[in-house]
Amino acid sequence: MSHSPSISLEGLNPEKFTLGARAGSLVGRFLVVGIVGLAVAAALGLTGDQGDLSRFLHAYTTVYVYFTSIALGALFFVLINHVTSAGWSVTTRRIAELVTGAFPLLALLSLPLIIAALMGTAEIYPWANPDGGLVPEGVAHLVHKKAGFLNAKFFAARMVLYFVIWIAMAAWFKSRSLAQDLSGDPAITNLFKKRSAPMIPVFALTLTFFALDLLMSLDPVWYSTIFGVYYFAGGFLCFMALLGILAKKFGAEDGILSGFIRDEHYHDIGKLTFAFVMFWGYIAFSQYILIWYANIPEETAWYHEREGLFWGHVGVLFLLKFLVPFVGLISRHMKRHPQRLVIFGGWVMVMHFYDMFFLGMPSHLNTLHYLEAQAGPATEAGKAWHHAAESFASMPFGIMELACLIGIGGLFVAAVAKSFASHSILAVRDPRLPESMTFHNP
Amino acid sequence: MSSQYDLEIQTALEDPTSRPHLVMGGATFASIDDDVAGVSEGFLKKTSLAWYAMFGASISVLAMLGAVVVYLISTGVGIWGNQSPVFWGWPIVNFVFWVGIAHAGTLISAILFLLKQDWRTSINRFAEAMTIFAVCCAGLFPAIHVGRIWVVYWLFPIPNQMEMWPNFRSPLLWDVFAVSTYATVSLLFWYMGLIPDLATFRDRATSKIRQGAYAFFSLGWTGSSRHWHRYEKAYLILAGLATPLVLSVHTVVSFDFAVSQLPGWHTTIFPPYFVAGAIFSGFAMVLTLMIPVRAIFGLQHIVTLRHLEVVSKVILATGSMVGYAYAMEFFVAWYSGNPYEQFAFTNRAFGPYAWAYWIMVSCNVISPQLFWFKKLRQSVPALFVISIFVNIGMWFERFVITVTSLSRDFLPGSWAYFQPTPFDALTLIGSFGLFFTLFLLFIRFLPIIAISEIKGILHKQESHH
Repeated sequence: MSHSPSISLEGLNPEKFTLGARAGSLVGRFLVVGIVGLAVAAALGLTGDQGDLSRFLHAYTTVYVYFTSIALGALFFVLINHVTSAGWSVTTRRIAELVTGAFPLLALLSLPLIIAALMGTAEIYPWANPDGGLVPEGVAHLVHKKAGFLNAKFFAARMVLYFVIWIAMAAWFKSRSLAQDLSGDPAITNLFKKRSAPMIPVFALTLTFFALDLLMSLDPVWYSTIFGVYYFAGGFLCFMALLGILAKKFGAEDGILSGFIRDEHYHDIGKLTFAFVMFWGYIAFSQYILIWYANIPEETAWYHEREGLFWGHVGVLFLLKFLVPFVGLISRHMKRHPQRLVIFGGWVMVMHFYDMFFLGMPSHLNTLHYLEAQAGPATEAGKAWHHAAESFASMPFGIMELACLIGIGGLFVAAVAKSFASHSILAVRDPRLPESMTFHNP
Repeated sequence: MSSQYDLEIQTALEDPTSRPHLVMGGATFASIDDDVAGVSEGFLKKTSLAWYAMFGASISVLAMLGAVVVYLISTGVGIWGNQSPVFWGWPIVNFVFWVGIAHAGTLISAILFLLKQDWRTSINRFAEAMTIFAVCCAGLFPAIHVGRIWVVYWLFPIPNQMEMWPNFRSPLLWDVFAVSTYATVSLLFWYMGLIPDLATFRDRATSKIRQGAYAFFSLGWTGSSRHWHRYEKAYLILAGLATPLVLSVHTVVSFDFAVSQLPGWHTTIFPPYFVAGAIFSGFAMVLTLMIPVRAIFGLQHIVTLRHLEVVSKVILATGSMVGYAYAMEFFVAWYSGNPYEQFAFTNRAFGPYAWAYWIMVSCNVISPQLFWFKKLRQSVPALFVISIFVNIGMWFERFVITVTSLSRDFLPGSWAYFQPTPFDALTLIGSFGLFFTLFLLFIRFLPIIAISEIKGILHKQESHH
């Protein structure tokens, strides 16, 4: 845990840092858990009552963007550390590289959403079927105007493009970095620096449009130019929180990276977590205050759905995702104490999920209310929609959401565990490893 | 001389196992003292005609600004081109321009300090000084734009017998707090960093007046370990406090526009976009000023080509963020389906101010992209020219935002083309007089490089051998 001067960095064997069966045994278990979870969710969604399909697709999207944001945060961690020639992060960087191994799975998991769009399932994406009765009449012309961008085929093509890019980037960094474990070639580090720079704008644009496609377009009328930055800020924050947790897991006395992850690393991870707590709070506040202040109905409707219907989300989210970790992590002492870092890391990860829930799920309730109004509140169908809305509002996080969380979460853990099982989790011959082992925070 | 350092830097950069030296030319503690203090002391030894010429020119321009301001106050803001519907013309453009430039200093001294970026030590003092002077220039514009400057204190919530208060819901009032807080903290930060170096100046002073003045301002600094201990603590705390300020000031400035309902102003990306643009313009100004200064005073071994290259990378990064924001605004204006939003942006790009828009895009988006090429990042003339382009582009950005949205609002009947008057131009030029007068005084009397911080990294450099 603390600085171990006795560790020799000569001739470190990557095999020694491979988790093997310790992670490998998780793969099968979580795969089963994931598949069962998703099967339950899909069964509930496809065969259940009125409104359950919408609830399934919204819950699925919410959980899906949550885990994708973590993988994107990991990819950004790799990119930013290479482009800045960072030395401190070397002993933790492989962890991020291995987390990005989840991208192929995430690509696969995008299929239900792509299929839903291609089938014109208006319950999740009203624009996918503009005449499907889920676009309010007053704004139908707007949705038609956007059809050049918001149409199922282009949506599908964009999703494929994002994942081709992310999988290629992640695979390149991972494979080159693993090759360096064997060769120790410093030229690879220089190449990382050179290539990561132009990848950052590509990353920024793909992430932005991913967020627009999956989350912002749930309400095809609403728009916010900061939305991509909002999604990025939360995702990177969530990954830093996860990194703190994994660093503690591997860096503890009996951990595989014991002695390699030092208090200085916890401190730096804590600082970045803290900084992104502030950055997320800043972005969330900026978006809110500008929309609140200008008070334009097209924009405020989105917040109205999110603060009026249940829990008064905006304030609660700000309090829980910003204020609590802000106060908690402000002191140096907290950041250097791994156990406390883990507690706040876990808190932040839960709050980021709440944030994604806040972005995604109110759209489900909105859909139900709209369908109720369409059918007429007095009719049978209207009553059924009303009932669905009531039952969701009374328990917004129910079996459906839990099943999706367990399903996608289980598969995500399985994919990451598989990645961890077969590779060294330390970049053993990174030329900056000695620096990462000796630096001190002032 | 410089090419030898450049070669050393080149070879060092190719080896990731070690960190290249930040200060070149076998510098020692004594040589750093001589080199940096020598800039100011050089003026004592030899009368510098060039300095007097430049100072004379700057102070004349400043005097001209004084005359314009007197004319403005005695006549009214009507001497400017601010006319219906563009009541916010050049004064706010200039204000935002200067506040933006003021962002590099605190970013370098606070955020880069927290990020342990040691290279900042060669340029932080300089950038902080520039920050203070730019804030002075910025503060001038709202103050003289209020119309009745004799009641300018109404900007502050001072208890008074009329029980009249400023409107706390107005972002213009938030601006008063944001900018004055920023000016105060930047000044404190700058001054505190200066204390050990002022003591060095004091100890080297040869005349009684010089010695007395530096002794007064160095607050009895002896360099004891207790002094250093407190200094470093205070520095860290100030850095922590100043970091949110880097974001908050330009965020509040962006609120001046973005809380409105005007298409082209009201867009949620404004806060981070303005901050990125501010850092972008601030770093460009650092390059513009640093390149001649390091050449004139022979400081190429302290502010090396590597430092300039790193600054150019920051410009590339922040310039790309600005480009991202332009693109998002355009895309979302289309995506919104809102005809007013769409009009605001097509009007910018293809309307009567298209010339200004394309100057902005060429300077802010295209020109920094040239820094993808290593050859240009390492070419001093290219760095200088591009930094000037960025300065120009960032002025035009504020012009485009302010004027295009106002000149054609919702009512076509009230549309008009904004015409600046000569007094608009003279006020802008005059603010440069203020800036350069302060800047030349800074070069002459104060340590333009943070001597003690450079010594701190020299120490690190040596211990790694």
